[in-house]
Amino acid sequence: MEVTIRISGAQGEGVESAGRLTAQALAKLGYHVFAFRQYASIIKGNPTMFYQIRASTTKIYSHGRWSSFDVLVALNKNALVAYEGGAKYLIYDSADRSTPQRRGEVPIPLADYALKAGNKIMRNTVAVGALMGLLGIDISVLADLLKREFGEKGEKIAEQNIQAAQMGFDHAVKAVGSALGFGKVGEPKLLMSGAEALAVGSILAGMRFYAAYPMTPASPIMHFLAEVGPKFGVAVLQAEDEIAAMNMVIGASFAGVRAATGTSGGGFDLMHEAFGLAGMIEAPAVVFLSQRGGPSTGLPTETEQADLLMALSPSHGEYPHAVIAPYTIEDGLYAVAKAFNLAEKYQIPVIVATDLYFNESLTTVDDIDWKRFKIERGELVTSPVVWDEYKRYKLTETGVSPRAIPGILGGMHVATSDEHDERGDVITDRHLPEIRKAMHDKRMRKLAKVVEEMEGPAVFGSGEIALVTWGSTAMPLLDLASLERDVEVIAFRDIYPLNKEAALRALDGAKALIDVELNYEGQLALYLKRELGVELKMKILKWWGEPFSLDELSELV
Amino acid sequence: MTTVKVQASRKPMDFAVVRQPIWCPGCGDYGILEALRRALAEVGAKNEEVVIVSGIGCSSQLPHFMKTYGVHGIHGRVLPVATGIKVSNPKLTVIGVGGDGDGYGIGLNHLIHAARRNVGVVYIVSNNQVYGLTTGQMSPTTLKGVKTKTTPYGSIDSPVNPLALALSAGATFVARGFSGDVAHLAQIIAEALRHRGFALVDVLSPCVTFNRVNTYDWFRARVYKLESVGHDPTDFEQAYKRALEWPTLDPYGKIPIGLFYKREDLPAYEEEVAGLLGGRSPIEAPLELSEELVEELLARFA
Ligand SMILES: Cc1ncc(C[n+]2csc(CCOP(=O)(O)OP(=O)(O)O)c2C)c(N)n1
Ligand code: SF4
Ligand SMILES: [Mg+2]
Repeated sequence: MEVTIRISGAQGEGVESAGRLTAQALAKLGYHVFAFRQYASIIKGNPTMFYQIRASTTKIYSHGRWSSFDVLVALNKNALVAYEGGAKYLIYDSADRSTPQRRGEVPIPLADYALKAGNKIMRNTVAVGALMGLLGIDISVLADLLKREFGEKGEKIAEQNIQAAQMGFDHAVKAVGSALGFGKVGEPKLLMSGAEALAVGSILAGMRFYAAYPMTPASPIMHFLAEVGPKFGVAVLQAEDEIAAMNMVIGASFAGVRAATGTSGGGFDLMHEAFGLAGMIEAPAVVFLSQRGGPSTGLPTETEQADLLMALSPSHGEYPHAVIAPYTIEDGLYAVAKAFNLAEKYQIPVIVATDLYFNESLTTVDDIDWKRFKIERGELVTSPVVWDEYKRYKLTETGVSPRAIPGILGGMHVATSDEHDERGDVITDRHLPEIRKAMHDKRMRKLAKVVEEMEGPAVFGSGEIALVTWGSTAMPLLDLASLERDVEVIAFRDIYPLNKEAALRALDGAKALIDVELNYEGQLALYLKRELGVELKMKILKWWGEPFSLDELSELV
Repeated sequence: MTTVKVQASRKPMDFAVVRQPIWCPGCGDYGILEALRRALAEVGAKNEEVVIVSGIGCSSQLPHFMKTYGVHGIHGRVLPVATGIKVSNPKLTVIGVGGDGDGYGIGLNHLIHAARRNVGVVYIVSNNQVYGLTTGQMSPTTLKGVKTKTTPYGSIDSPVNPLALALSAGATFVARGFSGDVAHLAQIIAEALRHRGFALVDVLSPCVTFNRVNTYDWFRARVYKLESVGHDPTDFEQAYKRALEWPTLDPYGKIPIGLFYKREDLPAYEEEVAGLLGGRSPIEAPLELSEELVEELLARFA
């Protein structure tokens, strides 16, 4: 049992909250839900933004189809005209079209009902009420959500909204009956966005310091942490710019606190120098690189995966780091836990690469595997050391050295961006190639240890055609694999350093390999060719701000 | 809340290391180093609870000559790193050190923000009015008309006035010292270390190699002590006027040194953060959540 609903209207018309409420209602009834928002870089305007909510009794990972859906809720005429062709059922304002043109159309006096309930701005609530009616969802589910949304302070507003919803509901039921029959199918499910998954994962992973500068689509991570973090001991600082944010993270990390920042491509550009500093002074750090369409300001509110090559090699010079790109929102929770552990165990900066599609989509999350949140702090020094002997950058076989933090008696040392010796003393006032050789090699050889912890690509399904991808593009592909026989999905998640044997094993065989990515160059394919010598000759690429959808993928494959 | 604990009889040499500074003989930075050691001794700081953060430049080498923790980071980013440390663990004494290029040029942005946040960091700027480490280019405090490698016909840029800027930005402790008067400078730094919130200590610190204009003698002929003219450091307007004297109003005139301004009644940034976190700092917050807290966290998504 499955339904796909598109709610469309102008930005500022309430599409956002209508979409959220719908997704929440379905999650409450036990459905697997995925909700995606397509919008533009404008606060009020853009007549046809939409929220697409898909719900199913089986597990789903994406918003589904692009050009057809079961229900369209159009909050204005533009939206109605733009999308009605793709919909079986239409809910729209009777002011926009008074008489239905075909079966399944439900014109409703949205504004009139809203006014009657107390305020014209509740048109969206009337529409959601009608949607509940059509779907066959008990109005009390929505009423509870509205009560929670407006809280005790907004009791009156909540009541008005409930009244507005009820009118829409009654109208729809009268017109089409509860046509779709979406009753309760299970226990309520947790519903969270990708950004929230990253934030929650961070809190669970022991992150207690987050500094960032607002940038779509990373901002929701900070919004969540700013509101919820303090209760859990997380300090959230809005830095003056991304350069400051990254340097603050390094400071917090030096002080012994698990710390992270989040940004998009442009902000990450500004962080490069400090990212390299973290590599040089061996300060653990996590960066949430939330991609959007580039270059430059690019497509600020639309998705893309064109920063892979940058993530592989940010900043100048050579130093160890790691890149992880969660392939589902649920996996985001675990990817973050892993990122913090890798960062601290190997004293390196780690990038968690996602994108707008990942960060802003909402999905239901099933049981959480708590085993995956074990905190590993590596070579952290927790008791006094003898200062004359202590070597912060001791040459070890693994390359990892004991890390004393301020407050530890005897652990005094300087973390130096200049090349330094084992004690951290700057050596650049002389030519000391032997020390340089040894220290550079020490840092770089940590990668050999990191790679042992990197998993090979996740493989789903099996078949003659293997779709090779990374990060969030795996989400629609996973759905495709469950629909089409003979399609296999190979999703790279632990991207750098690459576990080459495991990668080759996954790519091996007579399969036709097709690279699927949201960028122009086929950046994963370039990377795999460089690392493995494997060429992905066929490519399905897209760089115009839309995620992949099931209908288009079926056709292309 | 002062963050420096008083400890019995600490000596400047307790903060020294075997390694000798690598500055040119006569460099003003020796004076800053000595003054800082004396000040730390005076406030009874413990070596392992002091972190000195620097940027890049001759003056930013300073942490290497101190027996304390240190971060010798990248050019201009002293204050963000220091902020991260102080907020994470307010018990630490966090000191920033860097050049005029570092702090008033590439990193100027951060000075304004650290000041308005009132983060509990003592920021010592070695102001030699030149880029020392990169061999003598103009700096943001180079006086108009002065010849440097990048201003061979004399600088056409007006210098920034860091003290007036810091005051405008809301700094709660603003002072200027002179490397040629170590005892006086040490007193200023000690007072800054006892201050609640952000403290800027600008230090006239001659570069004997690349700045042949602003020499020790040049400064000796010009500096006067604010305390000797009855300046009231609690009076913002007076402080601002004094701050404008040099270099803004008369770049070749008298230069006030000493404490320009101080107020202790505003909370430090790290106190505000700890307030939000229920009275604890990030380093004190447990890494692992109790079951109840995990449930509470997840309940937000139900
Ligand atoms: C991003 C960056 N740009 C430029 C440099 C080169 N650089 C190193 S130190 C410095 C200026 C030093 O002047 P100042 O901060 O006044 O310190 P001083 O040497 O005078 O003590 C410059 C431009 C650098 N290290 N990093
Ligand atoms: S170049 Fe100038 S600032 Fe640098 S060490 Fe020499 S005297 Fe000091
Ligand atoms: Mg200088």
